[in-house]
Amino acid sequence: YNFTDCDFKNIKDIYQDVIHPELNVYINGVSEETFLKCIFIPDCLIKIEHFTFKPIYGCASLAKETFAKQTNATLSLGCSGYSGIQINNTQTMKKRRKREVKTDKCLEQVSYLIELWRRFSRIS
Amino acid sequence: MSADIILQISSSFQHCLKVYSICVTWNASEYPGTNLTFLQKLSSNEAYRPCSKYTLQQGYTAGCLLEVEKDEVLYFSIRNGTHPLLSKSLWISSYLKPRSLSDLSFQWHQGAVTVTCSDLWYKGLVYEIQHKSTFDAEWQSKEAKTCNVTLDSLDAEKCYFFRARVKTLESSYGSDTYPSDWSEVIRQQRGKLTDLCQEKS
Repeated sequence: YNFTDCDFKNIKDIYQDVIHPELNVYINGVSEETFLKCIFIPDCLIKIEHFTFKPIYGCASLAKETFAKQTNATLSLGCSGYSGIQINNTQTMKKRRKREVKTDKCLEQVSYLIELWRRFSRIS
Repeated sequence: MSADIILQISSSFQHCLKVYSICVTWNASEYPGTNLTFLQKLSSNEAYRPCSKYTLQQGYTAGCLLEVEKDEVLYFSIRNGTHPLLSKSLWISSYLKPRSLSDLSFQWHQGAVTVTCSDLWYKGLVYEIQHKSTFDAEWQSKEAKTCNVTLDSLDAEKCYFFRARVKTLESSYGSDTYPSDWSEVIRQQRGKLTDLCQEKS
């Protein structure tokens, strides 16, 4: 999905009011010296989707975090033709029992997300 | 990266020149009497370029002044000779200090006043209007996402002071920016500009 046909103003408003506070709750004051840039609005949303939902080594899945569910709902509502990410609940339950500690890798991922959302918010 | 280098960065947009002017200053107490060099570029695949306008302190380099046409990513490196001490990349706007507001206008209507001015062109800002009467010691603040703020429960007979500034939203710029300077203080009584208000001492 290329995120060109979206209501960017609406997505930005929901980000500022709902997702941004949740990202801050997750990061909880931890400051990571990370930097990731996105130039244009669709590029920012593509990278936001990637870093929110794509599992990587060291950070099994952010998909079940509150901010991720809000992102999923916001993009599904705000972008026509976007069907959102299907989160496998049984998988989530199994993972939740194993992981409770926020890994450094996950904190780094969320720091990237904060940068990307900020850039999106400045240009949309 | 050396944690002993304390950075101070600010950027402001010069409307007449249509450029961002950026000031990067460093305090490298561990390298007294050393001319550190500042190299910068605006794209990751460009070569670094040396600073063309250093600021000095006690005769040694202590900062660099740059001008950039639009909000870009600044990649920079502070070095002692060829040895990099600190390398960083950042959006110029994440250290923004907006310019102060100047064209405030006032519409009085039944015990309220609507203060307006022209919005700055960049987004993610909060406009703060402060007011107090000659009987108040403290300013009262009200904020809005556009420069259009209505202040209620005012007594048009009284003399009021008004001032305004603009701040950036943390959700759009992060927490390293600066509020603009305050506008000049404007005095109003009975819906008109006046110079006669005396502040409460």
